[in-house]
Amino acid sequence: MTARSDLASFYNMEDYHRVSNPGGFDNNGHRYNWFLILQDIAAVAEPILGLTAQVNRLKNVYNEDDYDAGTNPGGIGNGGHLINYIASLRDVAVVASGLGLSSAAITRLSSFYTNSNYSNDGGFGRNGHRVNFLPSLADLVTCGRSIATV
Amino acid sequence: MIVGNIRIIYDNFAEAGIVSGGSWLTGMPLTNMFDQALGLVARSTNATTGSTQFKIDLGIVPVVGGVAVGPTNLSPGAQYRVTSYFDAGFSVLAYDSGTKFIQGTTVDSLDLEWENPDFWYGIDPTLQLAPWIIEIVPDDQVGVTSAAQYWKVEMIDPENADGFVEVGYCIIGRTFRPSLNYDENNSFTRIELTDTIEALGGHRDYWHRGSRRSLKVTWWRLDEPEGWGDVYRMMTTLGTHQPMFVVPDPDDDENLQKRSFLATFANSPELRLIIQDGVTTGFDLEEVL
Repeated sequence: MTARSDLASFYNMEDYHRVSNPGGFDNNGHRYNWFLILQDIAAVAEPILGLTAQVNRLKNVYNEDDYDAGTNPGGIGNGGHLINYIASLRDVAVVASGLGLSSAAITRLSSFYTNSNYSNDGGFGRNGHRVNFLPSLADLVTCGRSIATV
Repeated sequence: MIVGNIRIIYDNFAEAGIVSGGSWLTGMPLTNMFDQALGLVARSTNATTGSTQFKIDLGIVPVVGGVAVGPTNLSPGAQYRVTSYFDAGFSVLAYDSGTKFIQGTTVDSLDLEWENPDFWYGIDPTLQLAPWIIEIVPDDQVGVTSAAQYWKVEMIDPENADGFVEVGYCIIGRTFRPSLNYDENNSFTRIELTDTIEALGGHRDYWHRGSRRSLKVTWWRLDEPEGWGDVYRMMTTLGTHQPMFVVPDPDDDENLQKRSFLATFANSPELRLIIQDGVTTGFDLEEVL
């Protein structure tokens, strides 16, 4: 499996299962696949766009370890999701746009989702994550499939 | 609902092995892991990853089907890795579980608030589980990467609130992998260990001493080779006194810790030859406390 083929068909919004569906994002699959999909997007984009700031963060900064402002600013654990999750979506949107792609999913990734309190919008705060988290992952998967076609 | 066929780890190859590595208290050594008294634990000197691990030379090259280590005091969200090697230098890697979260020790992220620092990995510090590390070797690796003499277990929990890791028991054994899962007339329950005294007036006093898990499963039909293979071997080598580790559904990550346990046979299984080329059998399993 290559980065491009993974983006095209490996990631999906079905229930994660380590054997039968390792690319699933539902059922807490984000823990296993968020980092991997960012890596694959960077792998496809870098030869075309070069190591832009966004590509660099997808490739080298965001990671699965605990966040620490000093030693690991790109970490997703230990509250790092509050710093890095929305930011990673926006970086993916910028990369997708840079590749000449446009879609409703890319538009949402670029600006709709926020850490603000939910008010019938894309806010994740005040339980808004229960409305927006899975759709944001779905948009990430959709965007990844578009990037695979470039 | 994804249902995996039951797996039972039995015949503990580790008991005859030589265990080493990590850093463990002299008075609570790694050899305590092979005593059925689960309260007799091995305790690491601290919680650093270099200390909370061990290696074992099984002395033979068996076909390992699974590894279970516990009960432990590992924290919710702790990780583990089980590897095997073909050489005494632990350099030629055979089986590798990869680094995994201990199943059943985390909660659904969406059950937590977005602002919760543990949202991403679903770590709930209030969970009191005494979890087991449960690693069932995938079918396609049994006898291939798992046919190895040298094994290593790494427990990754450097922030453990106790400042050390404790382990009650370790089993590295073959696995019973029935071709068909158990029948629908199964039961899982907890057997209460409660003494009751009732006065003449009917008032009751209770002395609750705990409870043990119990699992009863049957197979209306297994192929004869399975009956005269694994089942007969289990009858012979385990009796009602040797432990095995039961994993009713290896794919049920969410409930893995609740459903899986160290057990003995309450009664030796029967093999009934009532079907041509097939056997009928059943297991009555009770938890080792």
